[in-house]
Amino acid sequence: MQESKFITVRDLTVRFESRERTVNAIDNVSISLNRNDRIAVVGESGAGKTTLARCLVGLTRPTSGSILFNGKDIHRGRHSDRKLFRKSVQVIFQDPYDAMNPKQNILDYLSMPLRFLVGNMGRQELRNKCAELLDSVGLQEDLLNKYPHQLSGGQKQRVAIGRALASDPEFLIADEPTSMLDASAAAGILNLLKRLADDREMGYAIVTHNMGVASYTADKILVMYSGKIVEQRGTDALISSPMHPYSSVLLQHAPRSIGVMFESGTAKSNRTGSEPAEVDPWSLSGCRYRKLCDRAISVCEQAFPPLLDTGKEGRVACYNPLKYGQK
Amino acid sequence: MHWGGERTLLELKDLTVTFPSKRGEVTAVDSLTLSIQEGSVFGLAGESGCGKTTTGLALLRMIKPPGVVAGEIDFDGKKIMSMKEEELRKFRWKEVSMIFQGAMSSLNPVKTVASQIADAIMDHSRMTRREAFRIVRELVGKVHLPPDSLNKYPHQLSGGQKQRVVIAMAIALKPKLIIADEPTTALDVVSQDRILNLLREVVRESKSTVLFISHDLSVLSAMCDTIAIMYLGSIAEQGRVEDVLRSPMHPYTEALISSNITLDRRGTSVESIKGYPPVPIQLPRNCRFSDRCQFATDECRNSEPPAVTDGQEHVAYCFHPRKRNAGK
Amino acid sequence: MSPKNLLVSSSGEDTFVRKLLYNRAALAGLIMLLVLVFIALLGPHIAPYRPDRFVAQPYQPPSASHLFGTDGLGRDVFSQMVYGTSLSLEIGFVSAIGITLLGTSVGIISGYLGRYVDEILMRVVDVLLVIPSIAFMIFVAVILGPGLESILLVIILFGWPPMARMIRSQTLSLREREFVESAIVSGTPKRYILFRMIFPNVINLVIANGILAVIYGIIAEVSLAFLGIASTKSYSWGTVLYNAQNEGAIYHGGLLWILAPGIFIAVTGVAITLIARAIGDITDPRYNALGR
Repeated sequence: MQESKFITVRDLTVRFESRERTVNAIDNVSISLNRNDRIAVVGESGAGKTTLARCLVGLTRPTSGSILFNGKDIHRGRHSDRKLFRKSVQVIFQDPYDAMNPKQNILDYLSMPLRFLVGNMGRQELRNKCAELLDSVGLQEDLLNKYPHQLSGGQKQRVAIGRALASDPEFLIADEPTSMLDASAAAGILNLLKRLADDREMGYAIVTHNMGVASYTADKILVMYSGKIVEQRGTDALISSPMHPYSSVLLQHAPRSIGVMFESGTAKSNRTGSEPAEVDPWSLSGCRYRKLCDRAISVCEQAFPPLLDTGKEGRVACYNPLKYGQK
Repeated sequence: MHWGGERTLLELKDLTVTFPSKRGEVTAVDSLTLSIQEGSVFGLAGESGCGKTTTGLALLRMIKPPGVVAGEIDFDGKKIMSMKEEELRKFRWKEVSMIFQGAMSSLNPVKTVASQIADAIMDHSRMTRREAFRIVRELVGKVHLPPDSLNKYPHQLSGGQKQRVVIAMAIALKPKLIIADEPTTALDVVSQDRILNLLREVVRESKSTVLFISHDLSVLSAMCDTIAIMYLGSIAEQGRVEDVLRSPMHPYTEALISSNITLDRRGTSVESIKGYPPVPIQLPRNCRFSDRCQFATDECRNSEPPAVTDGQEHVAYCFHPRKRNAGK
Repeated sequence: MSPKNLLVSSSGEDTFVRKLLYNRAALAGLIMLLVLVFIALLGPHIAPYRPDRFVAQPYQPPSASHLFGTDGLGRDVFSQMVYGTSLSLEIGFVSAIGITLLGTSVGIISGYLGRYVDEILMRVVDVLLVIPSIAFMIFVAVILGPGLESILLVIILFGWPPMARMIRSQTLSLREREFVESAIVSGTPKRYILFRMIFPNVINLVIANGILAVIYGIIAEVSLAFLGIASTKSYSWGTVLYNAQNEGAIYHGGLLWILAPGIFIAVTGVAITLIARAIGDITDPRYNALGR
């Protein structure tokens, strides 16, 4: 995995301090992404997945560690290198309602990256290019003169994707791109991302809490818990036989199709059984998941388990992982 | 699995909500007629903008001018539309409470959980502070919040915990009807399931009736007895949740179900519904879904669709219903 | 029509003035302000006497010919007030413009750039806010010497910090918004983000508070004049109050003489507050709850 040079995250730690406590939202994480990766970062809220996404596009500065793009640190080095990084790695945010300036129309919104990242363009050329971008995300040119509040959530998210495409990026980072949308709009957005990745030979990383979304879009899944990567494996392997107990819990909570739910009787029954207490994972020594884990053993209290290779192109951080085929 | 009593708790007749706009009158809810049986959980589904939330607000007479509400709302023998401001104040929260979309982010940041819930109780009843706090302690147990959260502030709670506080407030005065508007949408899947479990438990215990508004069919399938699918302000299909979701008759329902991205859809292609619903300004009297429907004919585009029934409670409004009786 | 839609403001900026005119409170405020401006512009034609002429016995009580009575030298107080309106309003508006420009730029720069720039600017603000401003104003005014310019300078110097604070906090919350972050990711230069994205979103706050700063400027001038720091060459509401105090109006029963500046200030204050509040209401996005 290490020979990949596209994006390398090395020993990344992001610390948030407040009056009450200090939390490592990302705790010594190392990953590397290939240009054509389709990856999903999965975890519940507070797992650090959004912070990781923000680091990957340079919006949050690491407390320690580094993020390398083509081998160069994205926060240091020459201006031209950083500009190339901006062009190559683009982002789509969670909240399409907040991602647009209410006072700017769609044309202004789409032109920004064209003007500032791509370079000099005449007025008409800019307009044509924006219309082209709208077309590539399945929208009509007549939206150009509209304002954000005149668009539906799904349309806004499409426009946001269109803007991310303006600089012809090689990689997209999408932070919960569908969590604010209803099912049909969400399916449209995810299909669009998949299609764009095919057409433009582009990779993406989707941050989501929903294993359903992850399995639909990604080839690799990275499961995070309390700032740590706990499992990282190919999608098929992970959903058929998760190794980390937490991954298996996430899979149990993933939405299933209506038919399956009624057949298996999971609709209308308690899917989780009794109510686990909420614990502050950062207050625990050793493995931060051990209080919620039904497979915890004494060694789990000693230290956070290291992220070790599973042998089959994957890594898992657990002292007592589920064995193959066991759920 | 309670299938309600025989008594109708809430009945809407031709409920219509309109808002003026620059381009003409927007009809957010269009002659909506439905009834909810006492003790049942009634689901209201549809894409965003279909009028689900507006319906919930209209029930509490909370549509502010320039919005206009017409039609009848009968609740437990009372005519809500003719209530005066003073009556409404007593009626809201005490008889019908609402869990608002995004309520968890609108908790007062400078008040502790306990005083927040107590204030809500005292605002709507004649209870003293002492009595209110006694109830608060009870409620916190009911919604499974740890006792020490009573003295915490909202920012010290997780999203799921905040939603529990909101639910505690909604059930505090033992209302007959709880309107829950997307109560789990802002949560991750794990907290979502926990909150759904809690809601089910609370409903079972208090025997309240619930109007559950959501766009998420899997959430609705896990919560409701009856479900109505709304499209552009009116009902497209309605019936017992299992009938509607397992053998949908309306193409819109069918499309909604198949656009759901779930764990078992890996490797398949999930189709989204093409196009967007039009802005409901002076729409012709036809099938509202006709311009997005793959089965639409001229009939659909020019006249209002008839009611098609399948069994006693399953109704769809469509010229070309799908899978009739398929589930039986 | 989800609530989300209802909360988004309509972009119909052209209707802002019309909305303002439809708002009764704003209309009342505007009319009151117009009357004051009218008085200021046409002062010499409205005032029955020259303000510095000895036209009657000193210390006359109010009468039909001398509405507010006369001062210790027999000058007509009403005429002094009418002449003074021009200077008082001028001071009010000029200091408001100064305060708005300074407060807004410091607020936006501090809030957006953050880090040490913010640290330094906000310390300056803190210092200016905690030192007893009137005492310091006198001190600075004495150093600068008497004159209109030094009075304006002093008022602006001590008037901008609250504005800067408010704009800064608004900017801080805008900076966290996704639309600003997505602009950063699009390589948008800081200049563009500040002026084309942040500024249009704080402009309503700027206008509402800029209008309120007018009344602050007027009151500050009156306070300074009352304490003896005034431009001696011409009349303002402050000079009238200063004279009333100096010439012992209270012992001579010149009640309206003392109250006159207060009444004018109160009228201006009400007018301006009505307008500012109406602007606040109108620009509150919920005002445009008319759907998409």
